[in-house]
Amino acid sequence: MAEVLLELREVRKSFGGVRALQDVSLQVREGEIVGLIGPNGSGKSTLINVATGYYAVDGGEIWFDGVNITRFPPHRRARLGLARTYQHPRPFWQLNAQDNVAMGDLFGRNARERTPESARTAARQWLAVLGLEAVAEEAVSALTLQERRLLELARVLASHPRAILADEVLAGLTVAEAERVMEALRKIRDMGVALLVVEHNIKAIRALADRIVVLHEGRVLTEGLPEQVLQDVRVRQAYLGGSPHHA
Amino acid sequence: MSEVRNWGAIAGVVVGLLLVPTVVRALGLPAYYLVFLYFYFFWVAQATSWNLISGYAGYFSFGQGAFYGGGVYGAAVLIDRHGVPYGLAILAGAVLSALIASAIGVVTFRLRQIRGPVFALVTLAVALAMHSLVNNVGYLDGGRGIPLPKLSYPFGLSDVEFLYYAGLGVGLVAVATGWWTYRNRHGWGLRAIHDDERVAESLGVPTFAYKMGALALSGALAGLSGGLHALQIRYVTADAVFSLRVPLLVIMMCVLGGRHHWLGPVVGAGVVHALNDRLSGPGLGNFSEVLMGLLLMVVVTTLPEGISSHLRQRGRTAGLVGLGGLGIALAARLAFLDALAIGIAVAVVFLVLRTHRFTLGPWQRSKTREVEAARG
Repeated sequence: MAEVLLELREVRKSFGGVRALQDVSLQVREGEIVGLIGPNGSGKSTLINVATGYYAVDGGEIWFDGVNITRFPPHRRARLGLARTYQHPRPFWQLNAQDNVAMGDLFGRNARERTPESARTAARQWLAVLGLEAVAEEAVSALTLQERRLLELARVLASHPRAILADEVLAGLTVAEAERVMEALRKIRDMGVALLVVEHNIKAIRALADRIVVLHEGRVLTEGLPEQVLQDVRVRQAYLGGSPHHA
Repeated sequence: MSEVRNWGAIAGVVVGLLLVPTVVRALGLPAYYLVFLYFYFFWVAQATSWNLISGYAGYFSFGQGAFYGGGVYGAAVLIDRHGVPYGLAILAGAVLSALIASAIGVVTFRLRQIRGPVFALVTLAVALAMHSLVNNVGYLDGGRGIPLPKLSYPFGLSDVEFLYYAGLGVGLVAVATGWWTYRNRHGWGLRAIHDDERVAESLGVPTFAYKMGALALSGALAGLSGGLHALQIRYVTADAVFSLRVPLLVIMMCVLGGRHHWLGPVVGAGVVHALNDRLSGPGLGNFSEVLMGLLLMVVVTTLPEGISSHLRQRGRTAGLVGLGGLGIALAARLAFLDALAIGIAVAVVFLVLRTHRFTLGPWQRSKTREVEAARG
């Protein structure tokens, strides 16, 4: 089996009295798409923020590629190859599409060998991979939502990540657009990148994920193959509400 | 090819500026031209210093007076109280201001993650605190001011000539720093921080180190320029040094000139200094402030990215229009510097009118593209 890249070991995180993550353990392997699902407020976004270092954990450990990164600041995690995308695309508005992507290359995993010039060249290539070459010189404000999503993926890819945590990359897209983004995600997986995809759209995640982890009230409710997990009575309960005793 | 041409143009400008004192002396022109240009170099250095942290990284500061004042007082105290040679004293002023900047950075960026209006207020508070400290500590000033002795300069240069060359040197150091930072990895990181610091961090930008670097560089440049300026002021007083004039003018220059580019402060300092200098004659003081305020309002609302961002497209034409204004003013027998200020004003007005007649708002462009995308 492929090597474990990202691992959370009994991670805890509270905000005041709200226990957002309670002893969550999770593994993501190379070349695998793990779907992370759960109702609103189940801790999905917190999990991403903790893994990428935006929040410090209250307990537990985070390992990446055999390194304990629990105390690493966000930029050092990024340099190791741990990348994320945002639910609402967050481009650098001052820069055009190409320079947005170049930023990923310039500060990514191979940052030391890169210069602004070489980063721009690399950015061109990544824009082409995601079908954005036509808008390379455009201001980001002129891009459509789908283009901004793809741009965000291109920016992250340019950093040569080993794992990407993707937060609701399909939200707000039409079926055809979502298909294009999913195609891009599969392409990325086949490059050997580990993907943790947070998604609300069950249909999409069934088609995309190799494995699904269900979060509920800050705990891992269950995990396994998509078909098994989505048939699980407890998962249905979590989504529809009510307690398992009435099942 | 264009790279070579650019370097040629830069070398030409530098050589031209180096020759100005010789020409002024040979033609018997008033020495005030040199003073006028010295002040331009001074403002370029101060504005570029501000732009590094406030323009590139978007950390708006009201504390330019702290860095500038650190340089002025660092140099003045060393020269007057300890007889330190002025060259060394100026460098010490730069180091002192870099240290003050770094201290502000450690407190605001590390201990408390401050940005936005609070950062602006913290920098202002530091400047006010320094004002009060200098005013109340006898060793630093004690409210009496520091008169500097008459210094003798190398090669038999007059103080005006020496200040011109030294000011030019400091201005060039500042612009080179702004230019180099703009182009290198540091500048890219600062732009990312400006637009979205959290995203920058998650992409691998070492945000703390980069902000500290920009702030320390900003302090060093302002201190260097301030230290030299102590020699120009000759009689240093806390009320003048720590007044709001420096921070406000520096902000105005960068906003007018453009905060996202190294050229912004160079252009903005030229416009603001030329107009300000000509409008500060007797009886014009208040009028000058009103007019500068109006100019700032017009430019901010019509050219929010600043003048420099429009120069690539319209710089040549605007330059010609400005030269036309200068020519007409000279033909009307106005003094050269008055005519220059008029030429600059005409060029700015041209840019404002020209840009606003022919561009559509960005919303219209994006709509067109969305329609196209929907069709395709």
